[in-house]
Amino acid sequence: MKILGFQIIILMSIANHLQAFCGFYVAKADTSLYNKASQVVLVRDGDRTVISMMNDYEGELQNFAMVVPVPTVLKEGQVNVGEKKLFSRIDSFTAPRLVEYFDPDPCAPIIQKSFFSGMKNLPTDTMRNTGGGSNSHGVTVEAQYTVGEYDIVILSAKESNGLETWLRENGYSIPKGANQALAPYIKQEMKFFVAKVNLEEQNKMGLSYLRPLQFAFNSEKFMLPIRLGMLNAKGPQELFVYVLTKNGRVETTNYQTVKLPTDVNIPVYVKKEFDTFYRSMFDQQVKEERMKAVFTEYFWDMGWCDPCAADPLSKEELRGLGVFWVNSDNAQSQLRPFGTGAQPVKVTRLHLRYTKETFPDDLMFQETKDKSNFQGRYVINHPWAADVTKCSEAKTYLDSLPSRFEKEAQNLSNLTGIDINEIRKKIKIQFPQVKEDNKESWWEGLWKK
Amino acid sequence: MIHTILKSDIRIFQIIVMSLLLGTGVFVYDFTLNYQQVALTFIAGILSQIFWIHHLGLNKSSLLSAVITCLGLALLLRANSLWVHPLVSVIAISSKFWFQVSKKHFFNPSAFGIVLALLFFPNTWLSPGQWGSTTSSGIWLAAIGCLIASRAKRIDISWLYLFFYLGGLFIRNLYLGYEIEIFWHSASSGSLLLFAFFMISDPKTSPDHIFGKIILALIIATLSLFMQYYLYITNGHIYALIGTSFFVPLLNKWIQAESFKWRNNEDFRVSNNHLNVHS
Repeated sequence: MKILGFQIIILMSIANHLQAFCGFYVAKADTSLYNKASQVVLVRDGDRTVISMMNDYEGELQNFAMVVPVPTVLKEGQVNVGEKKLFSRIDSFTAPRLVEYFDPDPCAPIIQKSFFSGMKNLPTDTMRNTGGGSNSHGVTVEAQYTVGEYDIVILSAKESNGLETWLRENGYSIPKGANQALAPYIKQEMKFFVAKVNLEEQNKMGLSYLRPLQFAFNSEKFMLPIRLGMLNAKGPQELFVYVLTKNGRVETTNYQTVKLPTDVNIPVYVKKEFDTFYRSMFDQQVKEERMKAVFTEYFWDMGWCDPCAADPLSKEELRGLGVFWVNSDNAQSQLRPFGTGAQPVKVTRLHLRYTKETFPDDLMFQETKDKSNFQGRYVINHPWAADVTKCSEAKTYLDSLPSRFEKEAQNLSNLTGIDINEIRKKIKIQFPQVKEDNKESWWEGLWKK
Repeated sequence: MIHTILKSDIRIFQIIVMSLLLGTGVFVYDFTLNYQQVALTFIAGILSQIFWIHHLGLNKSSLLSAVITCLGLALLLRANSLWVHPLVSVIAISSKFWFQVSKKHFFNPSAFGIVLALLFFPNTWLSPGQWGSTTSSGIWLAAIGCLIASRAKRIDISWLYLFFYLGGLFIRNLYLGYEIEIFWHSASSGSLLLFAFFMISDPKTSPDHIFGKIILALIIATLSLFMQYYLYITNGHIYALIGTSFFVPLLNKWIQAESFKWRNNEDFRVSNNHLNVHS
């Protein structure tokens, strides 16, 4: 349970400077830890919505296609091919992070500084089909155009069998069960955005990968269709959603949204295996929530960070992701939370693992008015390594370490489900000089056999 | 002993259950709610109720209702500041004395406070997904609700509402061709069950006669579904409850039945201005 500080929002930037992070940013757990994860950037204000979808498709390009239900017929200008690197930027900026502190010399306390780091990347996922021909079956091609390396058709349909037949006849290999999954969208008069790769355009560009597709539209519904994506899913799916809004934290209204455990002290050795730690921790949290919750991993103002896992995105980068209320003049400058008069941009990073059984319905969202910053932050504290026999405080300090290590071991065990004895062993290997707390209970050994 | 207490006034049982929910929410689910907000909600709400009790010379047992109202507010309302909860609490409790027809209040106090806060106060919101949507928690809440329902003789509006709402949802699901899992998923929503068993269930603000209850439950269920699935307004059910409040006195006029009292042989003191308020 995290008790919120109730600074009024105007005070928050001040508070930031007052409580500046003083430790070293060490590592982050970004989406590259998952080799099959979808990433979506959702930009939303009022009913204006921009969705960017990243596919890490690794097959023959002519076999790639994706079908997304959209609320309206999208005109050519509403569709764009985005930049892959922007996904890694927003991923890096919002990733859960490891920070480290160094215990001061117990004989003479010191002051530390902080520094920032760069970024890493990469996401994934896919829906596959193939393309061709034309016939009706109650299907209307509402629009058809080529954007970048993609050939796009926007379809409307009268009934799902017709749509399935049309897609098959046009060379899209639709997975089984598509018919039933498509039906509700047709009944709600949604359109279908179907994209496949135009090999000729692709060759012209000389790109070896597929760039993310983006579309902008107006819709009352603040949602993300995930039902179709589960049709050809093998096992649980991993999804990261970065939601960019003006005011507050975004959460799901039809599923529980929980925050990742954060600000936890963990053993020093985790520094070498932060990736493994994060994965085990997420697995454990998913297990505890029986794979039925969406996890908040980050919520912050785009203008600053503390500590920074990557530099905040520039205005130009944000516009590239579809943040339409940010002006691109002076594009290289970064957002300031206050000062330029620009509208603020808040980012919520949501992470979920799901199956058809645990997440039967599409994700419905709402923007709350919650402005309390949140980040997945894990802390290691290096013990003072130099001579600790110089002063009288040193003994007290040394005596305090075993119980601290034990607490860190318990934290780690609770977070990840790793056997605590394994953790204790690793700590002992790392700090053999620290004697265990050997306070035996009075009854221990009383009846030793 | 416990049995006697519960039998004498189901509000005590309701308070226990709602406190458990609040405790679970705050400690297990990490609601974006803090202790100060909870404390201020109760302090302001109970002081308001004491003021009105004193002012109008009412029965002290009405404090239990005030506690339930405060619990409802703490369970549902979220805000970014500390002043919202106590102010809403004062307004919610006072609404019972401000808005009356035939000496009986017609707004559900916690719903009234919540709607007012959402519409007019800055930085307030509800988190309908916070309870999770697992069948088990749904059943758990429903089972508790059942128990409460079975003790409150006049709580049948909860079942009527659920029947109409879920019926409508089921028909929509069938018409759109959604998998049955989606229906179960929506039906087991914690916030739906909370609303049904702890909000619409308030016997003081629901019609006296069973036919009146049927009509009101049908209207609120229809409005809830319409707002949620056609206007995409989350928490439509709370707006629907408040929007139809005026209807209750009318229904009572049309379809007469004996007005609800919390206890048999309840003896309310009548104030100088002859107000006979059952809170």
